[in-house]
Amino acid sequence: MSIAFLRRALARVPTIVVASALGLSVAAASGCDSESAAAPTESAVNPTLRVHEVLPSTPTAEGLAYVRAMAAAHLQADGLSAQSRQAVLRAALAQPVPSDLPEAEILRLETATRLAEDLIGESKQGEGVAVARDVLAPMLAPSRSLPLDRTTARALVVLGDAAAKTGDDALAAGSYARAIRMMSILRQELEQ
Amino acid sequence: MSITRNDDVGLGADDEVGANAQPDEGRIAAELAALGEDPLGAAELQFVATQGATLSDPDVATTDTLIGLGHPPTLLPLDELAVRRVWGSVAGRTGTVGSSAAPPVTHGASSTNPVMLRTVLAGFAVAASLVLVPRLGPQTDRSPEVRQADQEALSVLGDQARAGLAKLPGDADTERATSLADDYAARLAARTRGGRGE
Repeated sequence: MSIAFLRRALARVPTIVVASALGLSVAAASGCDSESAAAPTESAVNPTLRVHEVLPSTPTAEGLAYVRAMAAAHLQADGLSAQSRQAVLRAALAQPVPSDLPEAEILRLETATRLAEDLIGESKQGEGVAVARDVLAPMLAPSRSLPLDRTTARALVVLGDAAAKTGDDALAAGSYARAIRMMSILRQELEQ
Repeated sequence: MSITRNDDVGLGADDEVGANAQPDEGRIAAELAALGEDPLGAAELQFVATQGATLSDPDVATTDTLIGLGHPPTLLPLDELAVRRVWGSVAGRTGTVGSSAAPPVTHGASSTNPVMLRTVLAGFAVAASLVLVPRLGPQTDRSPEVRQADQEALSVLGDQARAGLAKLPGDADTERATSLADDYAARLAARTRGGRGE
């Protein structure tokens, strides 16, 4: 993935307005922080998507310990029941992130997405769905630049699912739209 | 009395038509002659002499409009509403309100002039805006019907997102994290070796 591609991608990703297809309101791109994104009340659709490329960092011993711990957590979670699996994933997310480790962003997003999928899948009362939304919404807030990666698209889809299940149609629509846009960029990259 | 052509559809009285207008046999004869019509007969002259002054404005206007219905001007075609108003007025005066005296009204392109068509289209545009504006308002203001439509659209959008994700190649979580860790370890090892070599 080249810097030139990233520049082209960024040029193609200004504020995207797709709300007209849904008939939903479009808000100003600004002012959507992590708190408002996680708010249970309905807000306005915000399809803003900012992306950045995750470049390999200078490896360190602390960084290696972190990425290995995250990989071990996923491996451990594979063989566990739902509750135990969620506990392992939560513990992995709680690990302090070493400085200068951009790879951690994708690892954390991947772990949070897996946890959210787990919570949505097993949730019968809706509590898990709300937790899933609260876990992902701050990490995927429109005000933040997101890593250009399939994991991000998947996380946005899961956030959209959680938002739709909790009745926040605006957040759901915005998340789906951003996911589709992210996948479009990734496909263009694959075709090049 | 002078009965002038009233191009305004409906029952509006012309300035030259009024209850105070007096029958004038000479003027009528001149007008008929100018139109190439036969002069008034004896019975018509008697009617003008005895009843002409009693004709009221609405009567004259209605008659004028009925004449217009028989000879519609090409530039101002009558619409259905004007036809019904005239016939309604006639029926009201003859005490036949609700009777079948009114002509059948046809619906279709042949009875619709461009002005009416534009009016209908403008009406649709206004109706569309009335529907759309609430949808652009606060989410909490959505009606159940609008919310249902939004839910369906949202469901379609979600399906598209999930379908797109399924087509995008990618490893499972554990494989991805393990691969990333292995890559990181290899880079660290290479860096360490490079540092020792220096």
